[in-house]
Amino acid sequence: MAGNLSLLVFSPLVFGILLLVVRKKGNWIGILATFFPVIVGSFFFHQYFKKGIQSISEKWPWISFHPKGFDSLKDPSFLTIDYELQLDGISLAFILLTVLLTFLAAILSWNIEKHRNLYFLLLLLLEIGMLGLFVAANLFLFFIFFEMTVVCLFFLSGKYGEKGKEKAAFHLLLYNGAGSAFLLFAIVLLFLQTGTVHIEQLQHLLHTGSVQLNELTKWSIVLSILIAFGIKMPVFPFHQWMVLMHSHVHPAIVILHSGVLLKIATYGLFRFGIGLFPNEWEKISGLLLFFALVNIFYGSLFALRQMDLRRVWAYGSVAHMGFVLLGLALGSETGIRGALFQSISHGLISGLLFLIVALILTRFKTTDIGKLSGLRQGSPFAVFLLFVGGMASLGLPATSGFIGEFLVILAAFEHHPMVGTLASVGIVLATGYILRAILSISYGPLPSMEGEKGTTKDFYSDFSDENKGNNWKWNMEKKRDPRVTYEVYEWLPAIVFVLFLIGLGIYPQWLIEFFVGA
Amino acid sequence: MDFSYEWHVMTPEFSILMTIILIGILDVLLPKKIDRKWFGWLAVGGTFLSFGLFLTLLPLDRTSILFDTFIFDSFAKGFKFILLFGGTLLLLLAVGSKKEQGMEKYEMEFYVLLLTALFGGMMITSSNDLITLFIGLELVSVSSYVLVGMNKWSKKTNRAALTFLMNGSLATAITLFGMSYLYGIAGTTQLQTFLQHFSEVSNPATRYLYIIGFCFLFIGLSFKWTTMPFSLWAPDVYEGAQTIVTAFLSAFSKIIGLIMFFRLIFTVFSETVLDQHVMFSIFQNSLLILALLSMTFGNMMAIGQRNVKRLLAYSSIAHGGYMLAGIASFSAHSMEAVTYYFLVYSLITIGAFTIVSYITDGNEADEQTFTGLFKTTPLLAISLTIFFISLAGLPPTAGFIGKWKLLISIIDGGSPIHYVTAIGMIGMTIVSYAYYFRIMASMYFQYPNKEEKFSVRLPLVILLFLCIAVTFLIGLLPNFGTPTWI
Amino acid sequence: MNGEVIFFVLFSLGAIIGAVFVLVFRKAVYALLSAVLTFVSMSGLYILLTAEFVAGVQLLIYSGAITILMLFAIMLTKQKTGTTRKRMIRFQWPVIIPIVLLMIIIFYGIHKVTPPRKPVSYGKNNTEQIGELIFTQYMIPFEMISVLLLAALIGAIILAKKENT
Repeated sequence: MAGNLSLLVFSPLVFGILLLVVRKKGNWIGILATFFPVIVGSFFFHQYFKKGIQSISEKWPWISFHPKGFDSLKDPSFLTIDYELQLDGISLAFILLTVLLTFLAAILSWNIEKHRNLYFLLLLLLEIGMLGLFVAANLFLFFIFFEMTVVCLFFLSGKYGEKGKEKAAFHLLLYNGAGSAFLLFAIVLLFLQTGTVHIEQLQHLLHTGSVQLNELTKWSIVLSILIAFGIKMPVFPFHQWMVLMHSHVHPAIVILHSGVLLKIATYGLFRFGIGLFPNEWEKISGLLLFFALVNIFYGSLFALRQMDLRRVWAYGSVAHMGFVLLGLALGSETGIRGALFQSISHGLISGLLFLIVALILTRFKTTDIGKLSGLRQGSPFAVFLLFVGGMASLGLPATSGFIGEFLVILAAFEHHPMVGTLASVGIVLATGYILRAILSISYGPLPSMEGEKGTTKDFYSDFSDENKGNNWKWNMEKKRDPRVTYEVYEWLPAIVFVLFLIGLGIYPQWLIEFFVGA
Repeated sequence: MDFSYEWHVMTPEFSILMTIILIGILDVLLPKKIDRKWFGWLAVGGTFLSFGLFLTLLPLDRTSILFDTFIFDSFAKGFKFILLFGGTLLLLLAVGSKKEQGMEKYEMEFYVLLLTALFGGMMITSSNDLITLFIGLELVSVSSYVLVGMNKWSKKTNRAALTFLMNGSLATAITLFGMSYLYGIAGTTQLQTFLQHFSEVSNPATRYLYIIGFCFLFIGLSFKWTTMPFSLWAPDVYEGAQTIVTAFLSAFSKIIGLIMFFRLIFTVFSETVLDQHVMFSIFQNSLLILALLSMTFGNMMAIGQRNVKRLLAYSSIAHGGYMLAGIASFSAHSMEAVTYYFLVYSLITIGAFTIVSYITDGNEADEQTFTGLFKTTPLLAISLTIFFISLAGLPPTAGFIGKWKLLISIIDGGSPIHYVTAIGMIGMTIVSYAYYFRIMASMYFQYPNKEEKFSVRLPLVILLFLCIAVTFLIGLLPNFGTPTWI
Repeated sequence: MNGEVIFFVLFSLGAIIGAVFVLVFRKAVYALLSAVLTFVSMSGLYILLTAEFVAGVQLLIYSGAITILMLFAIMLTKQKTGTTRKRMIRFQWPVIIPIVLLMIIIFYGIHKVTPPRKPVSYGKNNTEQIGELIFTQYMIPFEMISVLLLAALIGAIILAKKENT
């Protein structure tokens, strides 16, 4: 099986290479290139479930850091880093989320015109980073892929979006840079103390006590990891960059960012926080619970008073990630499963929500709740999407959002009833901000499309003046209202999202089976 | 006295020397009409020859000539490799880039001076004697004074050259003063004997004098590697000199200074067991603090710069800080980490300056020149991005592995000050994102000021390709970056 | 106090005063002459250390050749009269503090040290010994100096050459 996982990680490049050669039809190649990982991913899914293979791994010798005069006979693996990939159920769940969301995001970026090939290349590199970090079996590789996502995302978000995108990109870079600095420090410390960065080996060494870290080292590692992923998640004081990202960058990128990249935090905290330092995790779980609750309430309350739809969703994400942190902080089996479930489901939910943002933006040039209204007139489809997304987001039964939040709150009631009660209040607040947003958009008169050149392309391509292959003109000729007609690249991903959201809500066991090992 | 020494270990140096003489003689003999441009290729050929000869010498064990005034050991092998590699790249850069106005007449002088500097650097790597070290250093310094001041028609260059000369001679004087103390106590200039004497020091008064001597030595040398406290000359000089010369100063002469320092500290401290390392911990702590100061100063100042050459000057001060920290930590990993970082640093700096010299073409290197570069010349923009990402220490480039190795070497030291330095270093690389990515942002996100494509010249393409290929090769497979013979 | 000490004090005072005058004098010729004072005093110091060869070289090259060359250079180039020019360096009082501190630090070090009394044979074939060392043990640095001079020469030519551009 050697090499299979590498194929998975680098699968986006298989067709992506074409982007360097072929100048035209970049969007076709991009979609094809993102579709290939979906196939590879489902192949692994098939192997995992049908053949019952619990863990697939791959290993190549890579780097050794033996100092001069090191006796290699003693322990040749000491201070070496290998190229190790490993796939288990949890990784697979995140992998599938990644390939699906990237594919859908690529479809949604159909009419990006500005440096199209660069856009898709960056998207594919970003996908490699995301896939790589979910299957990385050691911290070093994890870090490399982690940084890769940050750099790709910097260029994507700084180049594609609207006014303020560059500021958002720099916020992203510096916040995440600070986070990765902490992570790097923790990794180097661990590496020097234990001589390895392989996660399972570390677990073994730390749990059996064959490597004794002193208290200071241990706590500085734990805190560094917490801060690193706390910024990524984002936890309350560090959330500003994420709100900026959500509200200024192209929705297709936000789908990936909110859907997958924020989940890196869940994954990281689960693998390196709980996984490596369970005892320390238990000791600070009180503090983490506090932060989780702060996130839930802060996010919900701020979402209530936002006038921009994207900012509502952004603060909603803060609240949702609060639930994830809550589940992780509890540390019980139910809690962790709930947190993981909530992560995946929130990935899908925010995918749908930002797809709606894309639909609205391309038509009305604004996401201001005050200016938008009457979406239901002649456009039941959009309202349908909005309601499915909103209901899933506030955790209505029969949607995937319900299962995640239910599991987390259930776990909270087991040990800390008070926390569970407070978290339930958070859900009520969620109902408030989501219904407020949805209702004010759906009812009332339909606003006119802004300006004559209200084309899908213009919005994102400030470089080009010409409107080649203008979809709107075509629609106008057919005498259809452009405000309520939808293109294939718009409704197709939407349907997929809806199917997954409802499917997971009705049959959650399907996803929970991935987390059996947790 | 027996003179049958193994002179063949000096053949790489000899071939450089012969190239210098050959170029000099040809310049005199050839008629005036003939274009002297191909002297550059001759110089490149000379370094290639030297490189080839050097490779044949690799299997040798430690060899020394003339009472250790010239030795060929693993240290010399590692750093000579870096110097020859960097020197070849620099010469390629010099061949490929357009000379500034009026500089066409000085082809011979330009290449001869670059080669003498290379020669001096190579002598430093294999000298085991204070006198050889000092003369090698002076050779590099004198060559670089002239190189900086060559473009004598520009007021800015003249000012830069004068600043450089004044600061440089002061630094040299201080170095020599420190050396005289060391010689006065030890009674020898030979590093090996020096080391024996040093390890036997028990008298506190003598030790005190040693500390004074070393302090002067370090302060003087810090001029060369542009860290605190002797770093303030760098921005002015880097800005005023021609871009090729700036690349030379930043990638080459800086590394030579560090190599010399490393040689001293390596020989003197590596095998000494002083009582509880009193002396060494004093040095180590103060050097680490200086390193920390340099990284902070360099990175903080770089943020505000709008001139790319100035910005790179400050960034090179910061990188000097990183390397100094790596050396000063002096753990088991130092040697490997520092060699690797030198290689990477000289590669990517030369690469970055190649593009700067390409784009500015003798004009002011204002940041405005870089806006929208991706739109006009994507190749250059992408190359510069790779170099900047590498300078910022981000994976998957070699810069990241270099940073990782330095960090391991620093943290392995184990004392609180090591931890502080490591944290400072990580934090400062994040600060450095701010300015590297600012330039990248203006390259990618903004419109170009004028639609002007930059024509592509062959030597530069070769050079860029080499730099990028090696950056990725040793970034992805770091074991290649630390060959077994180092 | 023997004669050696008296001469040492005289010579070192001469060297220091000469160096200070170089900085202080406004006219280039005066400055140069005070540099000669320094050079001569230093060769005196060398003689005290029974290094006659170095002393001789010092006298011949520094006080002789270099000074004369500089004098020629001064006389052949246009000189502004020193009266209108500002003083070269204004003396800044705060500088005195680090200087004194440094002096105290170094003096403290030297003061406490008792140099090991090695049996040194003074004055025996001084020149011969230097010659032998230069051409045997220190041959490589000696040859390197020639390259250094070459570089310096080329530099001097480039910088001094008159161009008609």
